[in-house]
Amino acid sequence: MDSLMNWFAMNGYGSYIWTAYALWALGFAWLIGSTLLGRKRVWAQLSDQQRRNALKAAQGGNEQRNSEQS
Amino acid sequence: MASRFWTWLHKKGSPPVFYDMADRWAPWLGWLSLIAIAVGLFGGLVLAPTDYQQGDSYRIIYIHVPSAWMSMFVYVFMASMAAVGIIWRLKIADAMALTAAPIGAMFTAVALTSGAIWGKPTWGTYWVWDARLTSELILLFLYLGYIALYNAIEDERTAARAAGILALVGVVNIPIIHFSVEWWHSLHQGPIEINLTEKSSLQPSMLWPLLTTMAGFQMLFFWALLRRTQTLVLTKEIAAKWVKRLMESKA
Repeated sequence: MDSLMNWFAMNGYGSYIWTAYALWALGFAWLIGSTLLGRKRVWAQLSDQQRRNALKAAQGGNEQRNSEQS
Repeated sequence: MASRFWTWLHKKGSPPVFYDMADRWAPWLGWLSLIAIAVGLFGGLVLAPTDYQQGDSYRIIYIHVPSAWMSMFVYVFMASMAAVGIIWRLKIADAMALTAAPIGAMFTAVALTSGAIWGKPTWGTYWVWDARLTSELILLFLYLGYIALYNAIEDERTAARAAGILALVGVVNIPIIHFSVEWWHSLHQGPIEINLTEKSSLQPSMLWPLLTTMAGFQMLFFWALLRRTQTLVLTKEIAAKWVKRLMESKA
């Protein structure tokens, strides 16, 4: 435990080192997070569009059948 | 010959071919980069010895130097892609240039902040207006200017061209950043000399973690570049036939 605290203190430079690393972690978290989020969004958009197209096709088919019946 | 090159370039750069290629490479790049960064930082923060001059503050090097290197690498990459887009009218190159810009800006911001924090215990100040720091700050503004200009112009081709020219002009800044510590007097230390046959300026136990993190940063850039360009291409070509086929194959 003591050795872990010692390591974390970095002989007095801990506050500098961990602040710098925290800002770096923030930058990388943004990079990875926004990349994955953008990907998720575009796939959701695509499947949404596909569902709408399928629905439209189905409706179109029904209308055609109705008009054939009358 | 020239026309064959043109055909090859446009085939490789066609959105569906690019998309497949990116799908093959991205998982490898992503996971390997995370492993390399984890191993490199463990080596740098835990295994590497304390520096005899700077004490433990030198450990900021393991994020500062890779970020600073990437800030320049990504800029040259972005400008090259912009040039390819302008010369050969390759849309995928324009897309990659646009995608690279915010990633490069992030690396630049990390290089600047980690450098400033490192400066306090080593130089006694967070910031000096010397050539190295100022030219790196200009690099950040070049990235932001590129993004702003691209977004300000509505017509896609004109936007890519105008922003691309800005990116190309800005390349002048890269050798200025690199050689600034040799050309002008600076608080900033000179480059680390890596020599495989003779002695490097950083001892091996300090050097390998640095090279490992650098490799990790590099791979993470390409992972993000491929994934974000894929997203951009899908957004733009949402109505295209190949996107429909792709959806069907994934379903």
